[in-house]
Parts: sequence; C-alpha cells; structure tokens
Amino acid sequence: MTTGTIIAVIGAGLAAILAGIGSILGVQMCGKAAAGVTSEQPELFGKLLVLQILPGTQGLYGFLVAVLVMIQLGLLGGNAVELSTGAGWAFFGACMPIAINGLISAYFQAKVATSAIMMTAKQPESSGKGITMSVLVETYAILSLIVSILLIFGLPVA
Amino acid sequence: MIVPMKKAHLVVLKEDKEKLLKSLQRYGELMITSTSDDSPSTTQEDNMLNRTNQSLKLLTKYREKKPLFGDYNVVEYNDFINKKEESLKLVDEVEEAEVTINNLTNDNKSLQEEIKSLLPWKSLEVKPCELSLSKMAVMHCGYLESRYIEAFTRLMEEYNNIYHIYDKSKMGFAIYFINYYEEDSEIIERLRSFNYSEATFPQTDKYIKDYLDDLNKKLEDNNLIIKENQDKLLEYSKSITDVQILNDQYLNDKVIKEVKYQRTDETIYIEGWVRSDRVERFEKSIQKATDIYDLELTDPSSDDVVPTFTKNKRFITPFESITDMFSKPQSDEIDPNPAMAIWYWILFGMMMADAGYGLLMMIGVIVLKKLLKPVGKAANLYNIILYSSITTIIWGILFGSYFGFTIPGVWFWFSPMEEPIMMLIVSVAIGGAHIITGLIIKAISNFKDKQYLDILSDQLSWILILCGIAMFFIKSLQFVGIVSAIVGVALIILFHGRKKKGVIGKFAFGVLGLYDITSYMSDLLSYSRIMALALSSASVAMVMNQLASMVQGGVFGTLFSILIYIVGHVFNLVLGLLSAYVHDSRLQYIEFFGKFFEGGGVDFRPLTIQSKYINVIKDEQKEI
Repeated sequence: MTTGTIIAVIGAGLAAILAGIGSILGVQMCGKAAAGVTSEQPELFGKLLVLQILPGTQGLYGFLVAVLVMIQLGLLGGNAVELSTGAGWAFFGACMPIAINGLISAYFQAKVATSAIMMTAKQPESSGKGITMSVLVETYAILSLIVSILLIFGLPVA
Repeated sequence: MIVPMKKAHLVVLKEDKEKLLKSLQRYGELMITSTSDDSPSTTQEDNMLNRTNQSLKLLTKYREKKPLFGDYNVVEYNDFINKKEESLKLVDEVEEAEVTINNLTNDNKSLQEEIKSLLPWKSLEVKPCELSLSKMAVMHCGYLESRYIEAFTRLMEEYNNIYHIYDKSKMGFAIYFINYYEEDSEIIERLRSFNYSEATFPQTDKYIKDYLDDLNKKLEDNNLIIKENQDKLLEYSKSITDVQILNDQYLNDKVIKEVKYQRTDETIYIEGWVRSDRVERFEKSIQKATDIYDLELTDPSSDDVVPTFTKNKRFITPFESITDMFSKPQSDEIDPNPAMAIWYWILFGMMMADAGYGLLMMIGVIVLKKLLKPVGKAANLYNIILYSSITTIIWGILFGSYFGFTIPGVWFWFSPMEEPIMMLIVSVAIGGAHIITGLIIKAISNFKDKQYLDILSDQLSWILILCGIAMFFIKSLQFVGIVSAIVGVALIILFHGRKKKGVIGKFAFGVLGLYDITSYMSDLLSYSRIMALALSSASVAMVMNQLASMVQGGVFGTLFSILIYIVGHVFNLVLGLLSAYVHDSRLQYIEFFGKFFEGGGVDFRPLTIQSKYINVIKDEQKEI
C-alpha cells in the first residue's frame, strides 16, 4: 500500500469520524430536550422524533463520502489502487468539506432544533416551522457534501 | 381552491339554545366567532373529565388483552348523544375499587412495619399490659447493640437480676430484664452508656406471639380483599370502551358549554362563518333544531378576519397538510396547494429515486393503512407517501435503480451514480422549472389585481432570464437564450424602479433590481440537495448490497446476507423517507412559496364533535 492510499484512507476516516461526532453531539442534545418534553406531553413524541433526528443526517453524509472514497479506490473489492502521494492528498482534501462542515453544521443545527423542540412543546402546530428553521442550517452541510462528492468522482485515480 | 366564506348572523329563542348547539355541532358547518360577557362554568364537565381520565389510566393498567394497534371505536350518533347510566356507575365502581386497594395497601405497609418491630419479642412471656404491674420490681424491654451484650450480662449478674436476651433486630438485640425498685434508676443510668433504648409495645392483653398472629391474619385478609378488587378491575377493564365514550361525551359537553353568544332576555345571538358552498346544509342543521329562527348571511367586510378553507381534488387534499404546517393561505389569495402538491410529488420521487423502494413504500403504506385505519393528519401523511411511491418508482426506473442495483432496463435514462454531474444539472433544471411555476402563480395573482407592470418587472423578466440561461447551454438555442436573457434584464432596468421619482432614481433602482440574481442563484443551487439525497440513498443501498454479498456462502452466510439486505434497506428507506419529507418541504417553503405565497390565514374550525377515543361516529342523518 502506497503512502498516497494511506493518506486518502485517513481522509475518508476523518469524514466519517468528524461528521459522525457532529451528529452524535447533535442528536444527543436534541434527544435530551425531546425527552424532557415527552415526559410532560407524550403525544408529541412523533413530532419531536423528526426534530431530534435532523442533526443525524450529517453523520450519514460523512459515512457516504467515506464509502465513495473506498469504492473509488477499490478498497471494497480487493483490488486497491496504488495512489501517488499527491493524489492521496487530493482525496484527503476532497473529504475535508463534509468532515469539517458536517461536524460544525450538525452541532449548530442541533441548537436550532433544540429551540424548535421547545417551540413545539408550547405550540405543537408550529413544528413544521421549527423543522424548516433547522433544515436551513443543514443546507451548508449539503453543499459541502456535493463538493466532496464531485471532487471524489472527478479526481484522477491512477 | 379557497372556498369563499359567508358571515352568518343567527338569532334563536333562548330555550332552543341547547338543542341548536347540539345540532350545529352534529353537522359541523359553523365556525362561531361571537363573543360573550359571561364566562360559563364548566366545573362539572372538568370534574367528570378528570374522573374518567383517572379511571381510564387505571383500567388500561389492568387490561389483559391490549389491542396491538390501539382501539378502534365506532359509535352510533344516537348512542353518543345519550350517556349510559351503566358507564357512570362503572366509573363509580372503578373509583371505589381503587380507593379500597389504595387504603388497604397503605394499611398493609404499616402492618408489616409493626410485625417487623415486634418479631424479636415473639417469645416474650409477659403480656405488654402487665409490664408495669409489679410494685417491687420494674420490668424493662429494650434494645442493645450486640457489642454491649457481654457487658450487659455482667451487669445483670452483678445485681443478680432476672434477664433474658431474645432475637436480634435492626436496633440490636431485644433484651428483657427485671430490676428491684431501689436499684432501677442506677442500673438504667449505667445502661445508658451502652446506648440502651426502651422498646414500646402496643397496649394489649395478649402475648406478643398471639398479637403477631392477629396482625398476620389481618394482613392476609387485606390481601384477599385487594385481590378481590383487582379481579373486579380486571372485569371492569373489559368495558373500557364505555368509559372512553363517556370521556368523549363530557369533552363535547364542555365544548358546547364554552360556546360564546350574546343574549337578551328571550333570545340569543350567534355570529360565525359558513362555507358559501354549504349554506343550505347549514340552514338545514338549524331547522333540525328549531323552526323559530332568524338567519342573515352577509359577505365579509374588509376588516373581518376571514378563516380559510381549502377544497381540492382528492389527489391534492393530503398535500394541504404540508402547506398548513408552514401557514394557512389567506382567504383572498390564490390557493398554492394544487401546484405545490404536484411539485412535492415529483420532487419526493426524485429524492428517493429507487423503483424497489417505491414498491416497498406502496406495499408498506397499504398494509399500515389497513391495520391502523388512520384518520385526519396521520391519514394525510400516509397518502402523501402512498402517492409519492408512484413517482419514486418512475424516477427509479428512469435512473435504472432497483434496491441499489443499477439495472439499465426499460425507460433507462442515466445512472446518477455514474454521471453525478448530469444529476446535478437535472436537479437544478427541475428547480428552475419549480421556481418559474412560482413566478407564474404570482403573475396570475398580479394580473387579477391589475398590477400589470409588476408582472413585467418582477415575474416575466426573471422567467425570461432563467429560461435564457437554460437555453444558453443548448447549442441550437444559444442565440434565443441570449436574446431572452437580455430582454429580461432590460425589463428589470426599465420597470424595477418605476415607483421612484426622477429618471436617474428610476434607472439606479432598476439596475439595483438586477442584484436579485444572487437570490435566484442561491435558490437554484439549493436544488442540488435533490442530487445529494438521491446519491446518498443510492450509495447507501449499494453499500448494503456489497456488504451482503461479502458474507455470502454457506447456509449461515446466506442467512446473514439476507438479514443485512433486509435491515440495511429498511434503515436506508426510513432515513431516506425522513430526508425527502423534510427537504422536499423546505424546497416548497423557502424556494417555491417565497416567490408568491403570503400565508398567515386562519384555519376554518367549525363547531364539531371532538373525539379522543372514538374513531368514527356513525350518523346516517348527517348527510342531508
């Protein structure tokens, strides 16, 4: 295995790890708030669950990027590509948008979602507005995801 | 379509009030808006609601067979309107049983405490009431920690006293000793240094042993009665439906009592809104209650807050709940639902984009609808997913995606996994069409308001620019595209500043209008999320397939791979559904509604029968 492949694998790992950490933090923050509300208003469970899971998507995006790198480099099939060091760093860079923005956006989306959970507790009918507000934050994770995907598909493998 | 409203002014005799309100509630056509000065007391209803809720909570606990998918109660209207005597009695009986059980349980707790404290003394040979009878001697019962027992024995030997050491308890050994009267205070003083404490006994003329037997007997009796009452509750819990209906009945009594109206000595006056297409039905609902009434229907005036009721084709109706989550349309604007529904439907399918998943969605929803029989908002959600499963299948076939496997079968267009750039272009192009639809709706509304210049400067111009940009990328239409974009830009420069004074002001503001291009660009880019969601769901599905194929081989391997297929795809499907639901809504709310929708309307909420436990109230007469 070449140094380039190792660097690319570290990048893929970071995408899954960092975006995953963001989602872990986010989902637990929202989960705590939602559990508190559910104790008083159990009938809101369904609505709160949607809000709680919103910051969870970033982790999935990170996972997705990591898997795409694995596919691109043939790490899943067994015929791993020998990457040059430069190409390895290029893949590393391609993983960074979702790794970093996934982490940050999940954390801050969770803050909005937590407030939305509080809002839903007081006015259950406005949960849709709360969802929309939280999803606005996720836009930037999605943009980063697109950049990462386009780079991974676009980078030369040989 | 937004149904126009009529304002109803209704006067009836005071004695007909109850009957009228019941009838209005039964047919559910009038949204009452009148105010009143006196606030009616609903203490009795609240009290009964509390009681029935409490009983329901208890009965649910004792219920043996809980229905897997919740209760499904169908009640005839005539049964609903009259409270059953037995149901009321049932609540009384449930409460009685509960009180008995609670009292006896508390009783048992103190009995057990007492038994525990007396147990060490069970072989005491003196009756508690005889302890203080002797004149020459003082009898003592008390506790002493085990480390002082030896010292105590020595002390007793020293004074030559009679003593006895019984069982150990939480407070130490139970000790019994007899002192001579003269020596008593001296011995007790010495024992104090050993942390000696006196025991207290109930005043009884029985031996402790017999007394304990009595207590145990009582405990057993209590347990028997508790068991008896629990059996009763078990029996009662079979008629839980009766209590559920009773709860709903009181809920509706409360709703009726809370209706506000103005009154004179002989008449009452009710004001409210009626759908203009249901006026006849509304009047019939009054006639069912009384012949003596005065009804006047007027058109809303400009300072009325008119409620909104949207009436659409069966396909559109479920999607109304998506709009309502954002905001009800105002009563005088164009109903966004028909256009929104179709776009929501298309975009949802594009985000899921897997024929296999579409099929799963369809089957899953049909099965769940059969089992759960959802009504209201829940039913809408099921129908949205059911309808969207069709577009999911169509897009899945176009993209050749079947459970994550790429199969270029019939109608194959391209595979997003292999041509992500193409997918990005398609997503943004679809987004452009979506935005243009929004602009067209705004143009129609401006046309109705006779704001023709607004159409030129704010809608037509941007439609031309967006179409122009799109055509620019198609070789044969490049020239048309450039011309169309230039016309659009010219329209903005010419008309955007029309409300400003002076030629320079008009021109400067017109040029400034071009700055909106940034918001249109970011709107368009926002549609790239379609590509992201479609790709992420497709690649997770692919990964699951790959994982499953890696473990195949042998019986174990095959079973394990089937497990991975099922769990992996269901997980991916559920997450995909949630993402599609959330992001599709966002595209409608921000990108689409932002172009034309005002919202902020009030929901049309007529006086109707509320139900918490009853799913369907059968009422043949209702369809007049």
